[in-house]
Amino acid sequence: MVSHHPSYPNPTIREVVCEIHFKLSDVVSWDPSWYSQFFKQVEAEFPTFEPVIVPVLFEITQASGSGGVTHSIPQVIRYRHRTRNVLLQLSENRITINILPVYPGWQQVSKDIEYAWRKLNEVMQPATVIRLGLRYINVIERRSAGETADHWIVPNHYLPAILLSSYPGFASQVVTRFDAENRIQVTFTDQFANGSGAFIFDIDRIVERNIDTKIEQLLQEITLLHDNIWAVFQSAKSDNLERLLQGEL
Amino acid sequence: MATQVMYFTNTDFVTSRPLFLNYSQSLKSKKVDSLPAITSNVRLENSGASVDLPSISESSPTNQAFQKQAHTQRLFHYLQNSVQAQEVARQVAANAWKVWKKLESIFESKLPAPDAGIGPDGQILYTWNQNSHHFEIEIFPEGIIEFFYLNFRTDETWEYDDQAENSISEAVIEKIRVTLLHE
Repeated sequence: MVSHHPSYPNPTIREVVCEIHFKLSDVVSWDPSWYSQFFKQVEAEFPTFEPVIVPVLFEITQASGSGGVTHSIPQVIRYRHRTRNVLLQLSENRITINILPVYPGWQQVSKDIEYAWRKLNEVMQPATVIRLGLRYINVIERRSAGETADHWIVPNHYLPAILLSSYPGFASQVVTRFDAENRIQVTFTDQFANGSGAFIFDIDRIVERNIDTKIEQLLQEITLLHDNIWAVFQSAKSDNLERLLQGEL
Repeated sequence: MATQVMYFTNTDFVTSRPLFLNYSQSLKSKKVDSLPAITSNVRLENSGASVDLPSISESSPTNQAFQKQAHTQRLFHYLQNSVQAQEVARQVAANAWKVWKKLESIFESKLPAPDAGIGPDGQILYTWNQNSHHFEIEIFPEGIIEFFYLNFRTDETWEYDDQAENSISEAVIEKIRVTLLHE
């Protein structure tokens, strides 16, 4: 099931992240050899893999005089597509699909998610999906150093007008829960990387509950997340941003 | 529906990469100093939103993809600003943008966006310089496009003329492949 949204010739999407957390059955534990077995499954399309260095924050606690440091270093293996800017990242009980520029459109993204999930199921058989996340990070380059965001973005429920007219160096994060299982996090900020810098518009939609592992069910859920993200983006898009997306001078 | 909100302005976020990699954490760390009124709102800390998502921005091919996208947007801004400032005719800028989008599509985003400038005859000039290779495209108001290559080391030159409405010729594609993409 694929929802229909406009596909722009000049997308501002810098990254799409789809994250699927799953649970194995009680009698099966995570097998590290699955990293290589998964590679064999995807090798034709994702011929290189690399371990990912994950920054770990250590939290030292001194509870009840016991003291000590509790930490674990997660292992993540990243598989890179042979021609397209697509990455799969596998770690214990989680698969992540990263889509990098140029954004190929939702239809292709949903195919990539389906591919990753089917291949994963050829190696292991998750009992249930416990969390789904879909995140769209848009980046809009500033035209000049002092440009305010209101040229590109209009206020909506998540983005107040005062933020959009702010002098550079601002940030906003709104986390909203629809219910106990569903939330959306909208972050809007700016950065000063090259020249004038850019605006970052990050929409992160997460559902946490038991979801059937059948691909049809999964895609239905992810499509709903995508619809929600699109609704936020659509309501924030100004005419100027529409022209940029369309490449209309 | 429970909503958590925090806004702040004029904070000192000046480093782009750490901000982009992990700005949700930055937001949290700023919260204490900038917004004492909501520091007791620890639910944001515990929401887990985006914290577990592995960032991929540190890898080199990824950075290149990001830089190419940023450069393309800046090219668009340049063309649009030039039209609005009446430094170039809208049709010329539109033709120039179409040329770039055709190249971007042909080379599947491997080719970086060009540097751009406006010539004395109202034309738009695209240039790429890589080591000894110089490649340029001039888009003229009459709808003519000129492709030109110069090797700084050997003085080899190559030229090709075309019309804006045509697709990019195989000769041009091959020249770019060999000189700029080294394929």
